[in-house]
Amino acid sequence: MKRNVLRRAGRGLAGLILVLIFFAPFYWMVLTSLKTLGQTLKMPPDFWVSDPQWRNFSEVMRRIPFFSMLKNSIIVTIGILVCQCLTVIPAAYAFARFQFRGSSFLFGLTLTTMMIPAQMIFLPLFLMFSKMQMINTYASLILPSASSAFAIFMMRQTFKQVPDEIVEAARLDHAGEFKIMCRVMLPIARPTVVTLALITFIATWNDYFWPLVLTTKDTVRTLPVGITALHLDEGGIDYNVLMAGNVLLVIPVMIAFFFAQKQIIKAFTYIGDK
Amino acid sequence: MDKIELRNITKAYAKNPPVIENLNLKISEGSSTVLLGPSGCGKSTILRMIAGLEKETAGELLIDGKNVSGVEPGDRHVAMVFQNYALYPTMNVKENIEFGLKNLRIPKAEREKRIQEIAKMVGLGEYLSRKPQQLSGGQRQRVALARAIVKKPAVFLMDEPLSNLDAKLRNQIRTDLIELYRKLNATFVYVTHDQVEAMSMGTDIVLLEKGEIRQIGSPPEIYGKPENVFTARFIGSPSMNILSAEELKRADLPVPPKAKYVGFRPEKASIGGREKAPRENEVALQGTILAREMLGDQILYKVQSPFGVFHVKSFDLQMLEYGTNSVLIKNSDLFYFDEEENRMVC
Repeated sequence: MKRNVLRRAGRGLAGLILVLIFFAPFYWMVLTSLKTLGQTLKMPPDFWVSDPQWRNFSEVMRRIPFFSMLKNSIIVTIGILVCQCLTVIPAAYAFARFQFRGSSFLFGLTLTTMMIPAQMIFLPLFLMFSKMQMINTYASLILPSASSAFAIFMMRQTFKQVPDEIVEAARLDHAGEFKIMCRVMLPIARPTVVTLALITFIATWNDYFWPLVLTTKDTVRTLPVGITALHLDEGGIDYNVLMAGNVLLVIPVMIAFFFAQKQIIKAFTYIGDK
Repeated sequence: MDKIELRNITKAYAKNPPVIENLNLKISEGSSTVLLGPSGCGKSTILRMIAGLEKETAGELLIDGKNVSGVEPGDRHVAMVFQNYALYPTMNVKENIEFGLKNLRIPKAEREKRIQEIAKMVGLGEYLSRKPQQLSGGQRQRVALARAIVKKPAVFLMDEPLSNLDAKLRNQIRTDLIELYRKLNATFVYVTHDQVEAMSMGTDIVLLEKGEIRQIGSPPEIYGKPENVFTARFIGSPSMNILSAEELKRADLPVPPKAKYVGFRPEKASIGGREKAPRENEVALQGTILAREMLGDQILYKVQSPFGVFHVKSFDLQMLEYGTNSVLIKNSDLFYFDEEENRMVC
């Protein structure tokens, strides 16, 4: 009885420490975004603010074209998500279910693209887009991520886990290949789809490198580029304004996480229906 | 009339030696044909070729007299029930049953009517909105059955549908299947490795070994007139006792000169009780009891004789003492097999 209580207390404490480790930086960001510049530099620091400085947020919007950049971020992110759905799902399905000439070679080739660092191909890619006069277009931001080897790999593994009999039953139920993919396989793979979409969403939403390389004007730049520009402003760094920008940047990610939580857990504990 | 016909069918996977070679088989319309055999005998492969899930390497497969090579599984008017149920996990029971009908573009009112009818028939009425994960094994197999029946196919293909169920449920669903077969008036092709299932379900049994047909016949024929040692051994529980004819000849027992093996069923021998010499139409074997198994309505004895070990099933519930006993078998219950292990008719 006593030991049980101790064990539970220990477990609770460990959980609390974990929560603190993950939560503290986040709390610090929100806190800093509500401080005055003077408070951000104070030593020892304050762990609470009594008069939150909401004007830091309007300051963000004054210094950068926030809403236009938000729009750019949304367009690029949705564009990439849609393109990946269209390319990744059929490719993964084909790799998982069909043996065709060169299928394993092509799959190997797909996987090797994961091993090439972005820093190695950004120059040729930039030159290519600039020759096609596509710099400063949404297409140049979307196309490099229009497919994903990692997502193809993950989806293929998920499709492969589905017992053959289910597909065979569907074939006997008069379903064509496209219908089997959409109505039978995709719903089974839903947790993986949601997780991959979330990973892609976060990666795209936070991506700084590609938008920086492939844009020269604010008209097509996305939020991360804009937020970084905040601390370049006026020489010194206004941490409070910078953090306010960051808060605005992560809000959509938080919302997405909140809604996808259940599916993510499912994706990593996939149990087939035997 | 033959519903399904296999002509010189050969099936090989990749470049391996064929699992089935030059197989000929006719399945008559309205029959309940059971493909029976040990694992790896090719019975499931045959079923899958009929379904169109597996392509024959050579030969012709006819359904209703028409060659169906190249005909999609969905267009063969067959329905299949799988061993592991193969339900669509993301659809509920109703959607599982409805999927095939939707793909056939059957109007909604008709679909509803059929689903209600079938759900009642297989006893799933109250589970229609459940997901497969929320059902027991028996209920899942009923959904799989309903999904097959609802399409009103001319042929039902069943691939060991009962082997994932526990023993009690298996007997129950087996009886349900027999009832269903009588009700539906369709052709059943049923694959199993369980001879009891085969005997009870089949109007015809096709016994297979290593991709070859060993015997085709009705259950009484397969049991009572085994054509070879394999059939004799495979059917019956425990299987037929097979003794060496040489040994029996040496003991001056009347055995046809060309016989190599002599067989008799454990339930056709009687043990103990009669100490007297065998009657004219009987042979007697002496042996010691090695083990006794009380099975409720019968006792199974394992007997060591000079001719080898054999089993005797006795319905006399007075358990015999361990020790030497005499076993009597009627001459008419003895089977003789020649060198090729084929039965000799004497």
